[in-house]
Amino acid sequence: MTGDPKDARDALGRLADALAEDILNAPDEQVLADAAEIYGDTDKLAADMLRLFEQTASEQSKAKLVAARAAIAADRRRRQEQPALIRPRRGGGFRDFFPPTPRPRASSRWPPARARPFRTMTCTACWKISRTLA
Amino acid sequence: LSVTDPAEPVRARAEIASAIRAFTPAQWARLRRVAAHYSIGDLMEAEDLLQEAFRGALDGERKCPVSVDVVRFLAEAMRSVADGELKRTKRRPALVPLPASGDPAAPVPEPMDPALNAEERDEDSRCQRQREQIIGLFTDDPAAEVIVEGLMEGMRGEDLRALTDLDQTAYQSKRRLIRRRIERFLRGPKL
Repeated sequence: MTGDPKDARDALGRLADALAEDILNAPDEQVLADAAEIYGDTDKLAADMLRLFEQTASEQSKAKLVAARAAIAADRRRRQEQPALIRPRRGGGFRDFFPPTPRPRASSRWPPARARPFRTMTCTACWKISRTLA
Repeated sequence: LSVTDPAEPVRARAEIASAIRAFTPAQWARLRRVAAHYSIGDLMEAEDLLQEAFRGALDGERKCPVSVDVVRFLAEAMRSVADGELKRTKRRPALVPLPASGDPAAPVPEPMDPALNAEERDEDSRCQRQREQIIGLFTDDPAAEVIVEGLMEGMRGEDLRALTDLDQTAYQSKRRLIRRRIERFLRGPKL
C-alpha cells in the first residue's frame, strides 16, 4: 500500500464496491442478522428508512409544484410583455378571433336596412300605400 | 454493479415508488448497509446518499430496467453518486486547444496551478486517514487485513482467497466479519 492520497480515494472506492456487492448477494437472514447487530431493531430501521423515502418524495412534490408555479408566472409575464395583435376581452371567446362583420349603415334606399319584417315582404305599391296611410 | 442497458424497457416512476413502499425489513436493511459502505471516504453521509438515490429514481433522472431488482437499482444509484463525489475534485491536467501554427497572436493558456486548494487537501487527507483507520481495524486479524488490503487493490475472488490460505467457508465468514466491522466503524449517529 502506498501513501498517495489519490490512491486512497480509489482504494476506498474499490473496497466499497466489493463489500456492497457482497451485501447485495447475501441471503436475507444474514443481512438482517448483521443489521440487527449493527443498527438494533430492524423493524425500526425499516420504518426510519421508509420515513426518509416519504420525506424525499414529499420534498420533491413540493419542489415540482414550486417549479410549475414559477413556469406559469413566467409565461404570464411573457404574454403581458408581448404586443398583442388581438387583445382578448374579459370572458372572450371565438369573437376575439372572428370579430363580427360591421353592418351596413341604414339608408333611405330600398330595401330599408331597418325595415320591419312585414314591410320587407310587401311589394312597392303596397309600401307606397302604407306610407300614405301613415 | 451494472444495470444500464438503453434498449431495455424501464420501470415507471410510480412503479418504483410502489416497489420501495413495499420493501421488506430485509430489503431496507440491505439498502441501508450498502449506503453505509458507499459513505466510505467520509465525503457524503449514508442518509444523503439514500436521499439522492430516491430523488434520482422519483424524478426519472435514473432509469430502472424492468429486469433489475429495485434494491440493486438504488444501490447502483448510490454507487454512482458516491463515485462522483470521490472523483469530483480529482485533479486532471487541463485540456486546452492548440494554437494555430504561425499565429503569433494566439492566446497562450494559463497553466493550471498544480498545488491543491484547501478543500482538495482536506478531502485527500480525510480519504487517506480513513484508509489507514480501516486497515487499522484488522491489526488483530492478519487474514482479514490481507483481504481488506487486497480488496483495496482491486483483487477479487479466488486470487484473494489463495493469498489468505483459508478454505471457502472460512474465507466467506472472514469477509462477513470485515463487512460488519467496517460498517460499525462507518456507522453515523443517525438512523
